[in-house]
Amino acid sequence: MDHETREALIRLITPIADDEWIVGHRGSEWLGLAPELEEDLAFSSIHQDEMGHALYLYELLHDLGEPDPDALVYARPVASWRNACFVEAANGDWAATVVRRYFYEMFDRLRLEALAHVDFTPLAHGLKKIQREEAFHLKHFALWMEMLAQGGDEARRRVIDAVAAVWPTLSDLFDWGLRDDVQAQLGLPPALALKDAWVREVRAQFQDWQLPWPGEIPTTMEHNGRAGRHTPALDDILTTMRAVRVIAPESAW
Amino acid sequence: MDDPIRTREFLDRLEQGDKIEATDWMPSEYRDLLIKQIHMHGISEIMGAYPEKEWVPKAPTIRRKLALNAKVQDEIGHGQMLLRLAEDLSRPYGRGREALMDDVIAGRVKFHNVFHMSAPTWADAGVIGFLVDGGAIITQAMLLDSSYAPYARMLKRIVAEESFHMQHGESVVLALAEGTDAQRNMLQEAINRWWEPMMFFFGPREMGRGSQRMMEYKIRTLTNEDLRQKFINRYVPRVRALGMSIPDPKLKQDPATGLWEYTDPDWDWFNKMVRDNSGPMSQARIALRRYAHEEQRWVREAVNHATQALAELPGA
Repeated sequence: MDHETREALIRLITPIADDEWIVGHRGSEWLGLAPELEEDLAFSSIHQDEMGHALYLYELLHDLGEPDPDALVYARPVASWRNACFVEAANGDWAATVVRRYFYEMFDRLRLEALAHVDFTPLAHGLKKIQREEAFHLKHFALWMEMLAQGGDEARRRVIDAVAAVWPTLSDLFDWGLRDDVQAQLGLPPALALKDAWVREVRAQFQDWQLPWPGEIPTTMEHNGRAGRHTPALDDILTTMRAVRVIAPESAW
Repeated sequence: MDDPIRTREFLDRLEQGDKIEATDWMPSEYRDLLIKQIHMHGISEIMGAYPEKEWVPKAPTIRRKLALNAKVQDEIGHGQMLLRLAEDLSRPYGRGREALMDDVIAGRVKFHNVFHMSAPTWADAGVIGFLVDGGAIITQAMLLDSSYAPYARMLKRIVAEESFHMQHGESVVLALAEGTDAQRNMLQEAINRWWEPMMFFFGPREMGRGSQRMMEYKIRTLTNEDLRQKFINRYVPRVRALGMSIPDPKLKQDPATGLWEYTDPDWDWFNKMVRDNSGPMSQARIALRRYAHEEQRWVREAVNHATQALAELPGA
């Protein structure tokens, strides 16, 4: 593999791995706190899946010449993380969590479909299993969206409020974090196409659930996780995540 | 009052080693003892998730994080399974999940003393798996032979999982024991914190009336002291093998009987803590459950509402 291809693959995979890791981390904060024991179990399994996907992708990155997975997670400076700011925000209540997770899963489904065009066997191999699991995740959160949307006045109000609050923070999700020519070279659709497909899918489901459509997704310039411009929330996550390891950074744990 | 003839027949069955199924007739005292035991066991599993849960986001490696997350999930799963049993038994009283969980918030059900304690370092997360799950295996192994068959069957699965948890704890503890001075100190301090609560964990030397009745009904088969002795016997060599010490100067084994002498835990203090939820972390942990249960009641109500609405759709 030539240097350029290697670099392109690293740039492609890092944001995906980081998204999955941060989603998994945020999800694990709900342990023991979900509204029902049965959901606690399902929710936890889903987020263990996400962290498992991240680990698989970090191992791929390591094979491509990046540091080992633990070093990537525990020793990388905040500006080198490429997850979307969208996934690093604090969880909020159950409605906000469901909305956020549904939006992410829909995006992830479309991203995985797009990645099928990338010609890199180890990635394709892992994506097959990941795709199978993600299909369940999307179903799970779509069902929750429906339950809350049809769940009476309070639930409906909460879900509509959550959509409104989350909507302005969506934009960096759709950014591949790649130069246009590299993205085309890898066979990926432009960010705009990904966003359009997402809007089509989500809009149709919103109609089914009789949820009002919030309109255009605003483009924010201030934060863009794909370019390493994160919100303070990622600092909080990394500080928490590393709180134990800093006690003896070089030691085995 | 229960029918004395049926009660006699029931006791004869127990005497012959018969196991009782959920659909069998049972004296109300037997039912009530089971509800009390299984309800408390289930709630302890759930409350036991919290001291370790707080370490999941801080776990120091990817593998540790995944393992600890899965372990905490298992504990909640045990709680869920046990509550299903308690719900079944509570049916004659018209009490379901909501009521059994309300009891936690209102302080009407106790949970194990160890889960009232604080777990201030990563070493505590390891020591909980190592000592607390190790202790739980000892009490639960006794219950495998319980006269109530659904409980015994469920415990088979629970004990199998607890032994994974114990190994997980042992692995965390071992890494610390082989680590830097800071890691070793952290481990010793955690052992110092958890030893006395573990002595209390198995209950008073003289068992209360309820525990004695549970022995008579063969719901449990060993005394508190039997269990504590097993624990000390198993853990003294294990802790010492780590190069750690046990914070009890009185600890000594009688070479003739094999029995251990130990310093009594502060019985009054722990008893009061469990009864009044007045331990260092009792209220904070109950607050977490309150968040899950009460502050999110709206979510469960929404699900009921939506399920009903969907069922009423034409063609449903």
